[in-house]
Amino acid sequence: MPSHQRSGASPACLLNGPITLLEFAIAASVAVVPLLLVVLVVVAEMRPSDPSAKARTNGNQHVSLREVAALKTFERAIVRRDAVTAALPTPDALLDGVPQCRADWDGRGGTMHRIRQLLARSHQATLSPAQRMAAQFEELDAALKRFSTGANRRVGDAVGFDVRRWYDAVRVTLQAPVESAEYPGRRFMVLCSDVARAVATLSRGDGRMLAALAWRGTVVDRAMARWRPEQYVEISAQQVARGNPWSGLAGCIYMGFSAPEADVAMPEYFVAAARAAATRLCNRPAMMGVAASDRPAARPVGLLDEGARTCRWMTSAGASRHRLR
Amino acid sequence: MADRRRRLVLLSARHAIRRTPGARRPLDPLSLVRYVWPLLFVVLVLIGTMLVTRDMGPLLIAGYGAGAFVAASIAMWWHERHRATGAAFAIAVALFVLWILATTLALFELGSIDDVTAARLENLAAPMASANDQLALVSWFQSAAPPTGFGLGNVPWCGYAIARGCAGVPAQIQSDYTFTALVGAFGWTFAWAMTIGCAVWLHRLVRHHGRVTRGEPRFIMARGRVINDDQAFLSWLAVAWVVLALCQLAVTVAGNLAVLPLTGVTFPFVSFGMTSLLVNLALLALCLHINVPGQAPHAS
Repeated sequence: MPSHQRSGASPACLLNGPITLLEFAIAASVAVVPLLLVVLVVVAEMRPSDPSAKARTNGNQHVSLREVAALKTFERAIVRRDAVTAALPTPDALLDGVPQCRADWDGRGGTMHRIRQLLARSHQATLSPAQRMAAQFEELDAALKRFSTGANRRVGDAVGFDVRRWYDAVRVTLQAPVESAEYPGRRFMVLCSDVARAVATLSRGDGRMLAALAWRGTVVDRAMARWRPEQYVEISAQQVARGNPWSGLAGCIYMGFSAPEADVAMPEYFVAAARAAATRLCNRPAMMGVAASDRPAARPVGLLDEGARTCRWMTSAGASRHRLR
Repeated sequence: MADRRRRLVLLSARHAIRRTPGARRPLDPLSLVRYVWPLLFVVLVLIGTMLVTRDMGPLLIAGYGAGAFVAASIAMWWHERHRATGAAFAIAVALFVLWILATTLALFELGSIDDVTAARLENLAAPMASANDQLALVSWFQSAAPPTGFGLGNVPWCGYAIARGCAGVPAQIQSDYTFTALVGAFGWTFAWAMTIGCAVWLHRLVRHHGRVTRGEPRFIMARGRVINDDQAFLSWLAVAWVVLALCQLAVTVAGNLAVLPLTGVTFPFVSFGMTSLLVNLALLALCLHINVPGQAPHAS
């Protein structure tokens, strides 16, 4: 520390004594406060005029476009079981099949990864992504077999996983960016990690997600008209979308919107838990999705307080928008 | 021998001129590099360490915070040469503002080199379509909050509810969204008042701290004991803590308002695991544990 920083830092010194480095540091730090105010102004005044901000706040659904694109690679790979042309992949075959992802999936990592491991002293032997995916493909294929051959099956024929078609689909998906009408001009590049995550998503819980997809055999013909002839399944954005959980809260289930002449639909009843706090909350106009000025003259009536705890009224992730309109 | 002595005298004289307070020195860019280099070295080591550990949130905070000290050093360098106190203070503030803007620009232009930062930038640019849904959740919640907030105890976070039972935001993530939580509980006006109030209070704390300490930030031997050189070390500690806390506050708020990407850094004093509260209170206590010079007795 140079000698100029020595001594006098009292208020009087600001004018009379030698100025210290400390005082300059203190003075510089004040810059954060006006910057915070600038952020406030930007958000309050300038942001609302930005058209992309409207998309940001008005959308009530979140859909990961990269996730959908990665999952859609399976639309080409899930085919009639007797049309499967290649056996399930080994980890090495997987790396050869999608060479763009070799660096991500072989588990070796780069120099930085090795430095991090050295610093973390992590010597645990973990599976490489390729090894994990190979195991997940086996689980997925078994799940497909169970799903398409068991009783009450939802698909017309027995289906299986054709890795060769999947390689082709993945190569195309990794090269072509995805675009969205909501964000014009913005291109989303599907990454190898997205593909690996899609494999995990489909195979998770013995292929639990398979039951939620649209299958040849249960989808109406009109919807199936745009499918490819060999296509057996469709994976759409709706199946992975996440809804706004506060657009009708879990625990405030409104119904009885029986005022057709009103500009804003007003609920007559709501179902909530038997707690006073929950009842107060459900009675708020904001919870009903109406402005405070549109508050109904008569408050909606709370129903089935105890019943809200039963399975009939239970809400779950993605099903919290149970507002009956 | 005589030559060597003469050279020694000349060197000493040159050194004396350089060190004489009040002497105006020439503007030499090399001297600026020499002056700021040790500090830049510390900044580079800090940034390098965080790049290796891949801790991008704290890296951003440290990147912003380092600017205050670089700006102060350059202002001091300027002051040593021009003796213009007001201009030097203005330079300190202006340079820090420029540093913040440059760091923000670098974040947006170069951030995509790192995968994690690229994902956060994508989330900022397209919150409803990116792979990460955190900004969507924050925006939805802020839109749902009434102007005066839901009120304490009525905020519809999921808290400890299991993920499948509630589609809201799990408790651990709420730690990063303290500003949003304030909006939810008390409304926008209160949240902003709290934030600006916190920033002003933190700055006031360090401003007053600097006025009651003197000396250098080092340990000295006095009366057979190792002691602080009249508390300047405490003031430097306070300045470092306040600058980082202010940057942390600004980055967290800007992240919640979708001006900067979400970083995963908590609001000062508030976090899910309470470590932020403990660490910040410990630093606050350390900064307040100071010998305030006694007032001179009134003359009778």
